[in-house]
Amino acid sequence: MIAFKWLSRGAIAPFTGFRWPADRSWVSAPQGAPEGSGIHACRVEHLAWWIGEELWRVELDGPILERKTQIEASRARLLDQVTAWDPAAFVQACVGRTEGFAAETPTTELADYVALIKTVDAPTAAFVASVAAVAARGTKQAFAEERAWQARWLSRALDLF
Amino acid sequence: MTSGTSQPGEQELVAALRQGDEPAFLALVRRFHSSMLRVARVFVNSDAVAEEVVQEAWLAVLEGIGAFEGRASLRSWMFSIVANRARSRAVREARSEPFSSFEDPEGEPTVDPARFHPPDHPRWPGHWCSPPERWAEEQLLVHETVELTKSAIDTLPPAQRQVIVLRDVEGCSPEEVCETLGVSDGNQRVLLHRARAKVRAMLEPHLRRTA
Amino acid sequence: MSSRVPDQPTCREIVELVTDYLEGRLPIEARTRLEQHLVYCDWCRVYLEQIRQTIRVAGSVSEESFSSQTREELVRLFRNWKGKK
Repeated sequence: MIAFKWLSRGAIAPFTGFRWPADRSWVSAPQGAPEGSGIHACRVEHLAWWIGEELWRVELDGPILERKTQIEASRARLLDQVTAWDPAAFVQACVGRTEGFAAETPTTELADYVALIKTVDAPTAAFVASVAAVAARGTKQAFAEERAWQARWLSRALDLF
Repeated sequence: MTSGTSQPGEQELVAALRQGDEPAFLALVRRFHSSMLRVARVFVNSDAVAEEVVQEAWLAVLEGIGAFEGRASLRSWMFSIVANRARSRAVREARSEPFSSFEDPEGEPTVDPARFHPPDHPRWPGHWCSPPERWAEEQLLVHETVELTKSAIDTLPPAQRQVIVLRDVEGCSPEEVCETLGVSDGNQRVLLHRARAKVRAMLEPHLRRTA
Repeated sequence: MSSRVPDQPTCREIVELVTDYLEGRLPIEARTRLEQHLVYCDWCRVYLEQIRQTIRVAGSVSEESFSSQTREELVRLFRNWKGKK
């Protein structure tokens, strides 16, 4: 199946430092390793939780483990990079959302988030906007709901599926 | 890397040693002596005493090699011999060295709480307020930093020192450490956690880039 | 958790989890939450990297020399043992 993966610059996995092969060859996760040691990837709805420097389309093989905010496979290969990924545009979208929350709920807290979010990078902007959503809506689910909004934005902006 | 089985080369060395082969003994000495000194040194007061302990340990290794079954790695078996002798020696020299020592009360934070916003902070409770600054990679393996690390490890409470020397200096596996020190996996992980945090904190003022 | 945001660990909690994380001993849920935190928290990423760097420097503490006197003593010890076998 086709899915997505966020990597650091140079197609390097952000937590393990693993360098994905440039020739797009298949990579297998170690056998018999503890749970969670497979190759992590995102369905579209998971994208906002894992924002990194590069977004890649990947092909997964073998049984897929479904988790709340990611999926896990035993084999994968890179297909192509989503070069349309524009972190600045994403940050602007999050700024817009947060300004909207501040307009709905004009507190000093929301004003602080608006000021902060204009100074941060894409992954942090996603987080701050989600925190702002909780502050504005007053519900715990607002955090995950904002991530879902961000995923839909990414899907439209990057023309994913 | 597993700890439960001897490495291939080791089996030959052990067999040769049982036959009284001197080159095999010297190969083991080259491979292990310095590490054994470091292990002894975390228990006893001085380099000189550590040397004596390790001499005794070599004799015990020779006397015990006939019975060594290879279930544990050669290294963890030898380190256990060193650790046991070093402990007895330390106790004889009246250095406080309880068998399983937990110096720090469990659950005490390993990073100064003042570096985080307090729980009642209106925006970011528990987030860094005095965050760590990146270290210059090129400064890491220079002589001065290595010396600093050595002295930082020397100032650790004994149990933490033992674990970090075995795990991070000597590269032993968690299983080897449990065998050598006679502690549980959970114990060695807690001790390792505290030790690494302390050493990091001691390195930090020296590795902080100047503004 | 003491964070104001549901299910999101604070930096103070993260720094106490780094060893379990590096040892691969965090349950999958906790590991996921830690990694999600690292995505947006540069400071905790720096802290984790510094723990890794500390491990690396500790691993370089390993001079392998010993004196010829030590070598002689050990050879003597060996020959003594062998003689009594």
